[in-house]
Amino acid sequence: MNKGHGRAFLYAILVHVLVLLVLGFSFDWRLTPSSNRQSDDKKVVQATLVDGGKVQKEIERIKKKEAAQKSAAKKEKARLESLIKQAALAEKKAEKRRKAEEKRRIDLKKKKVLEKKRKNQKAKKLAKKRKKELARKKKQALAKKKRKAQAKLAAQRRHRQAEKAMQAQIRKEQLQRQAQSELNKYQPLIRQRVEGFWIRPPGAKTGLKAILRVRLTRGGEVLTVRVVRSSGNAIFDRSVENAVKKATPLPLPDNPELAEFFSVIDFEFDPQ
Amino acid sequence: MILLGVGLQLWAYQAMAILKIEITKGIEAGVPIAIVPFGWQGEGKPPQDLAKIIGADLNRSGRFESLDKEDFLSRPYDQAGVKFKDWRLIKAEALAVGKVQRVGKDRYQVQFQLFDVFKGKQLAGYRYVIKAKQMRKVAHQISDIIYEKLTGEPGAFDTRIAYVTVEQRGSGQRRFLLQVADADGYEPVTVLDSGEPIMSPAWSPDGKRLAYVSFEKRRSMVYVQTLADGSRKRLADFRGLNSAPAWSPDGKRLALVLSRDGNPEIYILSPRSRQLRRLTHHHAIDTEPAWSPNGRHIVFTSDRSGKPQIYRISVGGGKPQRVTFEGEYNARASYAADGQSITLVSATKGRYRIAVLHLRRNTMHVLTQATLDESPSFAPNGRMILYATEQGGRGVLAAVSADGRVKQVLRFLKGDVREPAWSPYNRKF
Amino acid sequence: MNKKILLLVPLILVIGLSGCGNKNKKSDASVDERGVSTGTAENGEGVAGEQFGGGSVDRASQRRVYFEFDRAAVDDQNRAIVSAHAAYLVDNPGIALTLEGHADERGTREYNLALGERRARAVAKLMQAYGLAADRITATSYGEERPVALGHSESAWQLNRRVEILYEDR
Repeated sequence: MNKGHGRAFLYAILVHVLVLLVLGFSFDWRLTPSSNRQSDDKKVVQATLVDGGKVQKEIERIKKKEAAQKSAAKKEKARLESLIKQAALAEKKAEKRRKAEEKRRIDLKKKKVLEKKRKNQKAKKLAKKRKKELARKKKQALAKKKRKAQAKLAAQRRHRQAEKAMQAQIRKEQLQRQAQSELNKYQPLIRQRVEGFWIRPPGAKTGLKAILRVRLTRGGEVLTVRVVRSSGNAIFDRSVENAVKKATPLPLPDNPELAEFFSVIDFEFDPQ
Repeated sequence: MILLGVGLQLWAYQAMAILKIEITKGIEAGVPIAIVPFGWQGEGKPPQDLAKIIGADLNRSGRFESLDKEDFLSRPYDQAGVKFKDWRLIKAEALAVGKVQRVGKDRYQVQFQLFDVFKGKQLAGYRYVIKAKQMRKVAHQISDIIYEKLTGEPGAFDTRIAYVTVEQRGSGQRRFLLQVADADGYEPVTVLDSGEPIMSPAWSPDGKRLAYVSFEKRRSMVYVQTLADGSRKRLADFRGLNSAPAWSPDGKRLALVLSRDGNPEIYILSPRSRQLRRLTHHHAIDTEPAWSPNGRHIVFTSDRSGKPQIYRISVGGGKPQRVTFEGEYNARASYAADGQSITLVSATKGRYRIAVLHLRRNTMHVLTQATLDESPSFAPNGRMILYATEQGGRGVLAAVSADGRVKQVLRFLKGDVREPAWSPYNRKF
Repeated sequence: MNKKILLLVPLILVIGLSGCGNKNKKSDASVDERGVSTGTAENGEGVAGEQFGGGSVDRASQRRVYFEFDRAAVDDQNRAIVSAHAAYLVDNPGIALTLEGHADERGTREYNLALGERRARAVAKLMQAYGLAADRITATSYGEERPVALGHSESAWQLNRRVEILYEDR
């Protein structure tokens, strides 16, 4: 509250007091525009309880006592002033209280509004939260369901894979066994085929030896021939290379999986 | 179970590791080669079918099998026309193509190329400008080039042979002809014509002269004849036998057989100094001397053990060492150019066949199956042996590969042919 | 073959040989340079003929001496022929003798040339043993180069393994 207001109040009270003093004290103080005031009026009321009748009778005495009165007025003025001051102070205090009350009220209202708002919000939030929770739960449930399904699927898959792996392993072992038997069967066939095409250079000294790495298609066609170890004799090397190249296609198992075992062969030419 | 698993895994590892196959045996066969008929640019027919001559040469060696031209999928005459696929398909390892072009009066350009079919690359390429009469010689030279490129050893096709032909002429008169021909028996030239027997032609190491035995004086005498001009000298006309001449590898001396001391013995004669040295001393027959390629030893036939066997003696003299022990009759040995083996006539149960004896290993391989084979001599590259045999009641010459696998009778138009001797290498022109 | 043998047989029949064989065993050994092995191998080869009766050699038709395979020994029958010729030549000093050795086609030519010479020398030595002067004899060889019978069987071969006895005026 600012200072200007306070001072205005003070003057207003002072004027009222003077009017009251002039007009007597017949007024029902209750008619004074302060009906709204609920409490803390006692001091003001007490101040107005100064007896007017006595003032009439004692005019003389007042006169006489003028000086005294004067001093008394003075005193009174001082008192009034003090009263005014007090009243102002009280007013100020009241105002302050009022204001505080108002503030409190407003605050309360505000608080209530806020509270309401908060409550609203909270409710909203809660609703939202609930909704969310619900969605989450739903989602969770769904996910769980899905996980469950997936797990089931995975399990099935694992099972299938295991089965497959087992079958593959069985197949592999079967193949290997077959390959071993095919190896036993086809190795001499391949050897015979190559031997049938190897024209041994008659001049070749014994002890000449060459190793060829031969890559084959699954059909037995010779893809590449590489001299892994040369005999040191160009004619001998050429004779063995030509032997393998002419021997194409080499006899391989019809089953391509088995033929795979023969995809790379090292031929060691070691004439005896 | 675990062990089985491990075993399988190990096995699988090994299986997936590279399969190894050992080849210890091959086949005894000729290397298949395609010799495409040569292209011809000129009028009429080419003077010679070069491809045919070359094919016959290579076949005769036993080292090659000239493929039938009917099987050829294409007939290129130069590199531009060669599709290697065509030749791989018929499993030819090598391919020879060429062409003959007439470039002037009796002037021909011959071009030829040799290819490795499976590698698809050229191995040789040559060009000659020659006369028509040199055509066969060029064909033999091409055969030599092919042989050398594909076997790593020099060929012996462009060489000659000397031999004796006996012809029956009118009124039962027999003529003895000393002849020289190409190694395939073509282009024969008579260098001596006599009414009396001729024997044992022997080439000088430079291939320019022939020593031989002639009975023109009604007994055996040794002559030396220069082929270029036909001039000749009587080298040995001692009392008794004069026979079996053999040139030392340096051409400065001859070993021969004389019986001037009462019995056939080996002597060494230096024609320039007329110096004569007796090498053997035995009352048995010692004959058929032949020099080792290093000139240090002489092998000869002697029946000092009771039957003819081969002995070896140092050229400086000394005690002869017996070389043959297998067979009832071993004679007329001569060395291969590498000195490792000798070829000889070896008889068991009355069958006279051509054999090769490996000296260090002391192993004898009989190469022929007839009953009267004789006069074997190695080709200068040691890969073939020329010898005399009988066919249809007359004497013919045949060649056998040193491994005995391939035999071919040389073509001779007439007469009874015998006593062949393979020349040393010819110088190239 | 049989034809030729048949021709020879009557000739052989007129030769009186019984004593000669034993008498000349010594010279036989000296002729055969390889000694004891002579004539033991190659059974059944050579001219077949029986010895019996007596008589004299018909020199004109008996100018060949035959041998076994790879041998230079003169057997008893052939010795009689040699003996007859020697006797004649001793009586006729104006004639020179050439002995020409031959071989059959089997075996190598140079060896056979030497073998032919060996046969000729064997006959020459025998001639000397019968009294003929060495300087009247020439021994030579044609080896297998001049066969009298063609063909590749024993019937031809046995006729080709021979020494020809050739007279020449001195």
